[in-house]
Amino acid sequence: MKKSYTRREFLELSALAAAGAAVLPSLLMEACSSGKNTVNFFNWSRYIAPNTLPRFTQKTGIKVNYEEFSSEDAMFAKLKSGAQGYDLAVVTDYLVPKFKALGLIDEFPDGSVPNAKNIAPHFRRPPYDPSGAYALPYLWGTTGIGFNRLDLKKRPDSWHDLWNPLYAGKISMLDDARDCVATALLMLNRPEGTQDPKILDQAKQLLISQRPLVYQYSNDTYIDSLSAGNVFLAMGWSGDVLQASEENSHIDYTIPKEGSYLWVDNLCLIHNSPHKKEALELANYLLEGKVAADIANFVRYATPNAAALPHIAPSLLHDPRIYPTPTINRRLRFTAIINDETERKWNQIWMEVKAA
Amino acid sequence: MEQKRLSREKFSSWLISGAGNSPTHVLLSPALFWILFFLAIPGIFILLIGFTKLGPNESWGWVWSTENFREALNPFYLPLVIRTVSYAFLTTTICLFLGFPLAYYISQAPPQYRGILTLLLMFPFWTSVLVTIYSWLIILGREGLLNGVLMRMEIIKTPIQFLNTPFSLLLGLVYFYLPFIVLPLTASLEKIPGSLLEAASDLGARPLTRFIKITWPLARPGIFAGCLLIFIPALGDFLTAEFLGGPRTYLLGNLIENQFLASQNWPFGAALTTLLILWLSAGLYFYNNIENNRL
Amino acid sequence: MIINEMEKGNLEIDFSRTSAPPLLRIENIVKRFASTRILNQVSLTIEKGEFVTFLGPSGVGKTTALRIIAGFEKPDSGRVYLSGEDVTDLPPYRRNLHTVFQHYALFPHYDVFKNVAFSLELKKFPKDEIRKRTLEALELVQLLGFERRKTGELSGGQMQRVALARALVGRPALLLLDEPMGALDFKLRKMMQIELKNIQKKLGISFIYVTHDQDEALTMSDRIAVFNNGRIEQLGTPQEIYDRPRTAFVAEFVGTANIFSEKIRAAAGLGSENALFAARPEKILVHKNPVCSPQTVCIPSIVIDTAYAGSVRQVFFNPENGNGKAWVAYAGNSDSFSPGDKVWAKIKVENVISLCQKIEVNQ
Repeated sequence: MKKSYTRREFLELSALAAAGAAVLPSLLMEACSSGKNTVNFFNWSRYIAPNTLPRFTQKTGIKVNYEEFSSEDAMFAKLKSGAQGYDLAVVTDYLVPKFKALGLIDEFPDGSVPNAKNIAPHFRRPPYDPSGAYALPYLWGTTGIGFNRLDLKKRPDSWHDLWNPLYAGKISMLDDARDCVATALLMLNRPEGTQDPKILDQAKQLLISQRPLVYQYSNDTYIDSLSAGNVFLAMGWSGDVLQASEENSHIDYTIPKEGSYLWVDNLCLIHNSPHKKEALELANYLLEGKVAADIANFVRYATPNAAALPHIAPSLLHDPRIYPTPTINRRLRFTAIINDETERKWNQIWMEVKAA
Repeated sequence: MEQKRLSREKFSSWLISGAGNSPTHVLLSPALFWILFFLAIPGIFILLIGFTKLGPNESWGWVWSTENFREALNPFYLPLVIRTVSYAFLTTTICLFLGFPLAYYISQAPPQYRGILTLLLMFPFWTSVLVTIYSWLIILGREGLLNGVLMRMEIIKTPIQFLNTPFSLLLGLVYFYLPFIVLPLTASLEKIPGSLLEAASDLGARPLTRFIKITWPLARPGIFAGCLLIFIPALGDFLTAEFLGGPRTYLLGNLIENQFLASQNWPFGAALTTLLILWLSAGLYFYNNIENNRL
Repeated sequence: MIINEMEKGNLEIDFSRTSAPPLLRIENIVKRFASTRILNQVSLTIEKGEFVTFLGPSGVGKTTALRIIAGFEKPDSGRVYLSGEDVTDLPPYRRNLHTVFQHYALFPHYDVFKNVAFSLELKKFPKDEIRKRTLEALELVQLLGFERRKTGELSGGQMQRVALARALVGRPALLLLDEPMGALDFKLRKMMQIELKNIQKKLGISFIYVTHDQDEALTMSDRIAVFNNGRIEQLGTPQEIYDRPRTAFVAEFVGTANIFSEKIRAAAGLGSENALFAARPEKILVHKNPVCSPQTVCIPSIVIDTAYAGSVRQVFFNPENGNGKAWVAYAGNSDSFSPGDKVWAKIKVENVISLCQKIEVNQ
């Protein structure tokens, strides 16, 4: 789900981060209950329906130790530094190859999750998991432009609207190398895997040229800024913006005509899980059509589960901002999967854009 | 060999009982423990990580390299460093100018009110930093309290952009760090005997002269401690810059935070941190020398 | 005659008709803290070159009076004149006087030289002049060679001298000293007393010296102002104060006094009803036999105790008709008295001190 915080969660997280907890190795993390018939599930905060896990326990007798995170940086740092005691985790797409390479996750054994058949064809064997064995898509969303209808004369339809001097000082950009550099390359109509220094420099110049117009680079407060009228346009994630639009009906969301990225959160099996059997059972349960639909109806993100679609509330199913029309769908691509070297270049570009 | 053993024994006896026969070090052991486990070990850890190489997928093994330090000394970061130092310096200066009268007032207040005044001063610390930041967002926003009042009073016609400007960043920094100078300053000022000020007046010093020649120099330890307590954290601040600053106020703290979180480049972040600590220590060392030579 | 003397002590000489105004004149100073009157209608005149001591126990207003003269406190009413100029509303730094503080108040961040030179540097004297005068001042207090010492390295006596030099270097017309020797030991005090008096004479500066030590007051002063309850109870030369105290308070505070009870007075046939009399111990002769003669007062008494006091022996006795309070007299060491002895205390009439009735307290 990318970073989609409620304000309260955000406060909690940042207070922790301020205390330095986020960068401390999780050596002190207590091992979760290791008794029989339990499973330790690590998920984004508020990313499940309230009755999902109780029903699972009722049905199977397996107790779920449920732990939430609200920042993937912190979650990555935690798992990377060798935190023990998780069995099943929700992992964002671009992290899947990393986790795989670092040996943090294991393959789902063939046929161990029968309900994997429910996954819509489009989400099977995605670029970030070509074998389809490491990641079971859970929920998905898009990157686009959030805006406040009151402030704009014309509905934005292009990434170039974020470069429009008319909105100088009223533009918010995501503070994320991947999203921003990938989008810049998209606007330049260049392949995202390019190593060509000239093209990368063009992308950097494009982003730097936007800087004077930018009010903030933010992954979290842009929603408040939109609501408060501090910004008119914000590059953002569908879930965040749509949540805000529930509170403020003037806030809307669009996917630019140049196309954009979709992102997928996946169920992953943590390496050497001590409760592998239970973890597989939970994963299978979460992929049941009805269960997946309950979750999607509650959290209002799109489900990649074909068997769930009949159970999705019509108001959500027919909202193109959540389930884009086929026309829009054709313009969406999976999050760029780039190699280490490219990623470092992107990070460097982003650092130079921000520090310039 | 024998000698070595002896000196080790000597060392351990020193560690336990101090230089003389008095068992001072045993009493200090909680402090030693604290320093060792919460300062020395993490510090060494950070130093070491700085010399490792970032591996594939943002992992880092113990492969030694000075690459991070070379990168950190890249002139590209110079403007960032200058900007950060400027903000820290400005914050310190403003806090000093605002804090001095405040500290002076508190130190001159009758003793029974001093406790209450100090308590009020600490009031912002009673709530989370994030809550106070959010209240500033509410106050300074385009449709915020301040703009609302100004427009209601018809002082301005269109809202002023307060947030995400150097102004809002400085305001936030000053707001957060002001108590840090007032407390040591108050303590310093309280310690100046009133008779010294009377003596100065008596010998012909007008209030301003008296301040320059007596109060200020005698308050120096407090001023120094307070400025340090502000300058150092302000140099590493990222939270205030993140929320109240704009794209033009990206600071060193943000860069370091970014290395540890978003970029997951711990080695580079550690190298930056180490360099920051080194600069600060060097600065303090030289300042201390100058100060000692003055006296 | 006694009445005459008494009035003399209370007399203020009127200088308003002489050509030069007095150095210091304070008029009807009243000062309250909260609702307590610390000073109650205090008036005083001090001439150039005079050494005046404010004497009294603590808490009677003498330090407050000094602080009002220095300008650290404002009186609630009354005026302060320096050389004829009304300085009541002037801040301390505009008054031509300096103060030596009780705890010296040396500037800890300056060395001895800078401390002493402080007032000269404020007045922007040329460097040579500052140096010359500072060294002179240090020489005066015998601290030449200590210029570069830090104040923390000095002994109490040395700090005292630095404070003195610092106050004197600007050659003020008037120097105020607030119990300057309070922190010094007995021997050093005695030495400093003489030294201070010499300096004062040499420079011809007026001193106002606050102390609660009657010996100090008696040895150093030209005049003593005895403070009690926010008033100057008596102002006079040391001899006047000692020989002819006006009130029981002064008599008892300065030296020792044996106060006559009403019955003793009546028995001795002195004065009229309710008049108050006293006698100094050294003016009382104790005899084992009744040797009363005309022009003496003779009081039968019982010895309580004796105490060896170096050159003399103190004899404590209960006078007949007394109010229970023991009297004291001095006897030679050869005289032997034992507790219980019946004795006669003999005082020449001219040595009997006539006191005025208790001063009314305005509270």
